[in-house]
Amino acid sequence: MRIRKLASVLAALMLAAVVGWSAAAAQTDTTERLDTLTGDKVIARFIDAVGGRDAYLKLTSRYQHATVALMANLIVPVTTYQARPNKIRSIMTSDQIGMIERGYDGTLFWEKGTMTGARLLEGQELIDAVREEAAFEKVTTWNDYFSKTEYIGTDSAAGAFCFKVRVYPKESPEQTWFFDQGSGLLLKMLMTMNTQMGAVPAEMLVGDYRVFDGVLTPYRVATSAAGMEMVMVIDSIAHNIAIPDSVFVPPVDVLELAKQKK
Amino acid sequence: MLRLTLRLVAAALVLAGHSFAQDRLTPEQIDSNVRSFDLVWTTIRDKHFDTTFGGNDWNALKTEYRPVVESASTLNDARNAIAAMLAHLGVSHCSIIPKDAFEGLGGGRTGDGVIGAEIRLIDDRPVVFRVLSNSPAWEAGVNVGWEILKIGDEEVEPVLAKVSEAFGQKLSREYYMTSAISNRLKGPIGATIRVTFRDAADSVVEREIKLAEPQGKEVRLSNLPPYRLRTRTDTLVNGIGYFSHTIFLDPFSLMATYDDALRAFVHSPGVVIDIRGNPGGIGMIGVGMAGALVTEKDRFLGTMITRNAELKFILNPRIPSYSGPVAVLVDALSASTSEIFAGGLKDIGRVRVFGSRTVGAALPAMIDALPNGDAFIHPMANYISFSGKALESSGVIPDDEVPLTRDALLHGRDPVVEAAVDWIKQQYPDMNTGTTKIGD
Repeated sequence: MRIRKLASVLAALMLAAVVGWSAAAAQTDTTERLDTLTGDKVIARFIDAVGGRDAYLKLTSRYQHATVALMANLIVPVTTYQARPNKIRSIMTSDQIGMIERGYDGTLFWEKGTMTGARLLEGQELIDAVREEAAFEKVTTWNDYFSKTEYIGTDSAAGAFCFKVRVYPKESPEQTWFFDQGSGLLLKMLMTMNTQMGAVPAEMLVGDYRVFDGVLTPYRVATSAAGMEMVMVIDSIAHNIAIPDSVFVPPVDVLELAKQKK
Repeated sequence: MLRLTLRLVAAALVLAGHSFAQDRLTPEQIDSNVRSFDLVWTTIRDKHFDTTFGGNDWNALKTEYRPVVESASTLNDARNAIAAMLAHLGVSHCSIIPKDAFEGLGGGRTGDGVIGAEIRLIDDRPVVFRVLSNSPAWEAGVNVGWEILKIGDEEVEPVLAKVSEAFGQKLSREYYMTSAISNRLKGPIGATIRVTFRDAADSVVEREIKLAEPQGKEVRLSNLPPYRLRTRTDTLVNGIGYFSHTIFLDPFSLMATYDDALRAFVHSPGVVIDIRGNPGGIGMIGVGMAGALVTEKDRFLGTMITRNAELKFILNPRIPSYSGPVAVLVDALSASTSEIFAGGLKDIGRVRVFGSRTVGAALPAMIDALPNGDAFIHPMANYISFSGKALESSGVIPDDEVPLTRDALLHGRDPVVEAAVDWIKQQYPDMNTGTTKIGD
């Protein structure tokens, strides 16, 4: 009766879906003709739709509380603290699966779980985690993480007609994003997440956008990966709160691992 | 092993005479059953790791079973039709969990009473393997090694013969035979059952045993039935450490206890980890426990093969850790995560496995809610051990197959523990000999 939790995978996927997604820099005309449409223009339109660069620049920190439904009758609360440019600490706790913490202090990206102990992220997993989890947002830092975009046609997602854009993260495989042709909002993402266990193709459906502190945030993210379905629902967000630096300091055993690595 | 467990729970419900099984369905309930069927069928179609569906035409099975669900007059009939379709896949961890299956079986509630003894088959006969201290069986004077002859007025021999015939040569035969007896030793808390034994002198003796709440902490995961977590940390002869646990659930308490045990064993010449009778649980707990037994990075217990990904059970070296000889004890009731833990560590050469062959039910699984309120457990991947073997249907074959004997049990000996201890001693030629016994 092995219920393969893949807790670290779940945590990685859900966090990737929740924080830090976003996009490019250029501005565009929302009535752009299809034959002149580019990936950058679709993404710029998305940025406008979610509030624009200036709104994002006003945000310096974020507290978020959500629940993640991992399987029937297993709904786990997740608390996430973030600060610019890329500090993060997330805590997932449940009597059923224990505690799973992940964090990045700008130097060490670590994970610590009741079940599997502490470890440092390395290699491709580290690169992906910094971009997908730790980056506070990518609206204003797009060029730090992505090399180019490519408009690849139309499609549908979540019942809406979409523009489909391939985005090319630096040092990672490309991803395919689906943007609502009407609202400009991101509705779906296809990507391969590199985890400690291996590469996992993942599909994320993003929805229930709500305005908060001048930006539109998706309050619901459903992720399908490796035969699992997970649904995350945000129940509260707070921006620009004082988060002590100590929140981002790795646990002692993680620091010990880092010391041993040197 | 869930599949096995769930079947048994379902059987228990039939015995308990739950009325829901006979209730006539409203049009809304029929609709929710059909939607449940469709979700189950689609989930398997889209996610089942075996794209041959066990050699079946999955569309044809829908054509066959959907009308049965549509015309089912009771909820139980609908469930049975879905379960019958799933049975064609021929895999473990693939079944329906009735929404109210466990309401009457949880800790402290009617129907959950036990005698507090574990049963094993020895030469196809049910023998008392363990008696928990202060349990009803203990208070009734039941001893390890006693053979069970009758439960109430029911002779056990024909019961076992029937189950044996149904399961033939399948690895799960012993599991079901044992469970058939164990389930008959359960009932409402406070109820008394009469059990007839053959004792150490081969005399037939009867005991009236008052059923009590199971010992251990009640633990749960998703829609699975409640289990009882019991752990035991002990020191055997020559300071060899011994740790056992009954289920891979409740990571907070289980991992803390395990870590404490390893700290206590840090100077032990060897450690015995006993997962006989352990039906599995959360795979990552097994991975975490195994991580405490390795010091090198990038070792892994095996690989999960899904339709579009191969995921390795990577071991993170943990602190505290233990680097000395480790023996893992398994039997025909060790399943799922237990099999991956034992088989994986065996494959990478970290432990030596003692006991008897495991049940061969080792598939990673998920549990989804269904529209009719039931839950659906289904395998999300195949599991391939480090050496490239699928444990499903083949189980873990111990390095040293050590059978239990009634004579040994009657004399307070456990041949499997003894064999493990002897092996550990062999790692240290100068080690003194002594008696191997686990206190009660």
